[in-house]
Amino acid sequence: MVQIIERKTWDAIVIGSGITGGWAAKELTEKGLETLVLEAGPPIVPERDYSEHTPPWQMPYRGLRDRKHQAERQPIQSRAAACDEWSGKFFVDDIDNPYSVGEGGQDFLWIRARIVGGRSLLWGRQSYRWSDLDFGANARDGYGTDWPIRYRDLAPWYDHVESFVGIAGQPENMPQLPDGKFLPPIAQSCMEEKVREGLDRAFGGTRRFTPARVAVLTKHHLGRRACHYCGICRRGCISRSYFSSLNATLPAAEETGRLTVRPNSVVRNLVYDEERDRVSGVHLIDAESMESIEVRGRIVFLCASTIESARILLNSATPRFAEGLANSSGQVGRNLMDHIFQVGANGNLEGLEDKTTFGRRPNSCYLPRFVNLDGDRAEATREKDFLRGFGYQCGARRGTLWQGGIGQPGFGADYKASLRGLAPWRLGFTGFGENLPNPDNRVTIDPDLEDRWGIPAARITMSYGENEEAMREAIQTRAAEMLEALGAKNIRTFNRNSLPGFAIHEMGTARMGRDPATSVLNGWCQSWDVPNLFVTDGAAMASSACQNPSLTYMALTARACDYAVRQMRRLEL
Amino acid sequence: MTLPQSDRPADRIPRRQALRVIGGAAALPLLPEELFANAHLAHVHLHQQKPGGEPAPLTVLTEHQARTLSAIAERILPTTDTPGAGDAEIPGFVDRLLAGWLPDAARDHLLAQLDRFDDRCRERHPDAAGFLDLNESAQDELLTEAQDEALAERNDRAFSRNPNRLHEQPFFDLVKWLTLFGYYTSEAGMKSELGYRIVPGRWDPCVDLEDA
Ligand SMILES: Cc1cc2nc3c(=O)[nH]c(=O)nc-3n(C[C@H](O)[C@H](O)[C@H](O)COP(=O)(O)OP(=O)(O)OC[C@H]3O[C@@H](n4cnc5c(N)ncnc54)[C@H](O)[C@@H]3O)c2cc1C
Ligand code: SF4
Repeated sequence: MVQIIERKTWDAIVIGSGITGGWAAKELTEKGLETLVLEAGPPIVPERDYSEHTPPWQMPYRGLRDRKHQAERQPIQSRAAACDEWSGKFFVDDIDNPYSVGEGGQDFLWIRARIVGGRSLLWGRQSYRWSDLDFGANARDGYGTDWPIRYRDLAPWYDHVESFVGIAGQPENMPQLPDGKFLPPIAQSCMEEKVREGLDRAFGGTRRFTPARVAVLTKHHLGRRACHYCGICRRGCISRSYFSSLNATLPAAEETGRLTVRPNSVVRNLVYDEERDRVSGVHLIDAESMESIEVRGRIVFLCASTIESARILLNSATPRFAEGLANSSGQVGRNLMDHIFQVGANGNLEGLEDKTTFGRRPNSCYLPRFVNLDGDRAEATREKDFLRGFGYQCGARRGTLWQGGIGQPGFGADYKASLRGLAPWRLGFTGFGENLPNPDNRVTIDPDLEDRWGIPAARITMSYGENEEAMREAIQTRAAEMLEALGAKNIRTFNRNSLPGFAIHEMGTARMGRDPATSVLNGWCQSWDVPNLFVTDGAAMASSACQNPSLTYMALTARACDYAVRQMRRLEL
Repeated sequence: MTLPQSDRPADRIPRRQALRVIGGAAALPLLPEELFANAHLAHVHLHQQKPGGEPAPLTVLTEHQARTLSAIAERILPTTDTPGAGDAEIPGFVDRLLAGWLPDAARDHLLAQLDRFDDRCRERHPDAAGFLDLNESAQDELLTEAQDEALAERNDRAFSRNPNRLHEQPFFDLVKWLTLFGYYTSEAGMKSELGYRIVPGRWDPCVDLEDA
């Protein structure tokens, strides 16, 4: 029931201010649209809320976390390593924001932020282009539906977003991981250089150990300062050296004078005008006053993140769209994917005992996919046990000795001296593996559960299948095999069977496609059913690839904004 | 859901509010580099100042217990060419854990064992008021004894820092863990032993261990 109706009609309403909402705000305002951004969470004030320079000794529990608060209010969020004593406040309150897990599915970990900036404050900044190995994957093996776009459609938009974001990276000329518009890379440690050479030698250049490509500035860029290597970015960054909505896109949008951000605005549903066959506005609950408010706009960009966007569409059912707005295909909520994670191997490397690194870098290394490649490499790289592929986040580092100190007997001056210094170099590989689209992995609405604002909650039903299981095995053996080739000692494989959601790369719940009967969006992230509605977050993805997805969300968002504004000018919207 | 019916003028969000949302960060790029450096330092400084001069008053530990803990910590990681754990504000850290972090069983265990240990010190040295009163070699002797007991008690099991298992850990191990963790996260320990800098300012992928 909507009580307050604001009379102003905005050119555009963007729902969410995270990575994709920030981009939509920037692109739409720069193209001249008066834009309202609705954000469920509170504002973040960098000077007050960022804490990247707060050392452990100024934290009440020195980094051991506010354990009791987390047990009470963040039992799910606190399972993520990033939800620590500093950054915990950026994650949602699990009690206010409940969801349920559907029968037959695995437990699902839904890790999120409800603040201005969304998860752009928290992300690991790893930024990789996808290639036609990815955009052609569904067509090739028949899982999911074909992507309506190919790499050439997105390439200029990758250029566009990278030029603004600033990505530190090293060109490698590998077709499966296209190079981008890079700032200088963050150099690998001397041990990592040896690893790179060693792997090139042992595997003929097919397993390339490259500096991780990250959205961090290695030099001054568009008014933002170069990184000063203070370390743990997810606490904020007052010099704005890593990309977040707060550090980059929202200030750019603000500069146009056409941006209005409305924090504490929890979107309940979209308002559909049956006669005009358009979305006419958005119904929100003011998180503080609990007032129910309707705002109006000519176009709507849904950027609330994969699961939230599906939830909003499903909560926006109308007589015409009884199964959820824009859902004539029945695909809204389906095909939920994440990456398999927490699986890999590590081992000790000898040599360079007298060397270490200085500074705390905001990245490590990456090893791109080398299995099930396409084209003339298809035959040589084919895997018989699974489809698609995986890449590794990896790196060699030396831990401090004191951390193992409790296991060492003794005390006193000699004991203290024995804890000084560093452990041997340890090289680790953590796989990120592609997850096949599966219509049974889905988001629905739980009829019996509401959030703090009385909005029906999501129910998530998802499990990994045999392909993912088989890939987990390969991720371990391939990593161990590389460690062996490098002569590593004390090699250990690990498989913590991470639950779905835990890679925090959830996507797919409103896939784009070529056919309105089997997909929710066309190739421009535009709803087939409701032409002035765009969904440009991870919901739009038709497959999951194995690379971190956010850079691709950004490119898709910018491209959709360009299309939407062109359509508006032609009066087609 | 029922909410009062009302109508509001258009454009409810004053621009001031929108500016406030991102205003702080938006101002930064307009500063020239040197000025920025100052603003940046100010920010670092701001965070360093936060907790204020005087340590917070103890809420759980008695003054005597606090001083005893500090003295034990100093023997575990004594002052050498760098500060010892006696300078690492261990009691304040442990007091906060006792007040708001440790499960009840672990809190009771730690407090009881601390007193028991001090009782034992008095039994061995009836003239002394407790561990605090002993000379270093007497202190080390009692700690060695506690360490031996812990070793026997643990019987090859590793120390567990799982909060729900802390009440099962022998006293010496518990205090040693608190000391290690407290020291290497303290200003004294991090800066002197670990060479920690809040703002390193650069990344060097290869330096000699001695220079680090
Ligand atoms: C610890 C961590 C590490 C990560 N590392 C990486 C990485 O290295 N590389 C990578 O590519 N990705 C990474 N990710 C994932 C990345 O953060 C997400 O893919 C990305 O933020 C998604 O962007 P988004 O705009 O869809 O959603 P978000 O950034 O989550 O933003 C969504 C916004 O919408 C708002 N919202 C939600 N519901 C409503 C509603 N009903 N009404 C109004 N507003 C609403 C939210 O409050 C939020 O601000 C990581 C994530 C985390 C948490
Ligand atoms: S490491 Fe660099 S990017 Fe990360 S918070 Fe520090 S200065 Fe910012």
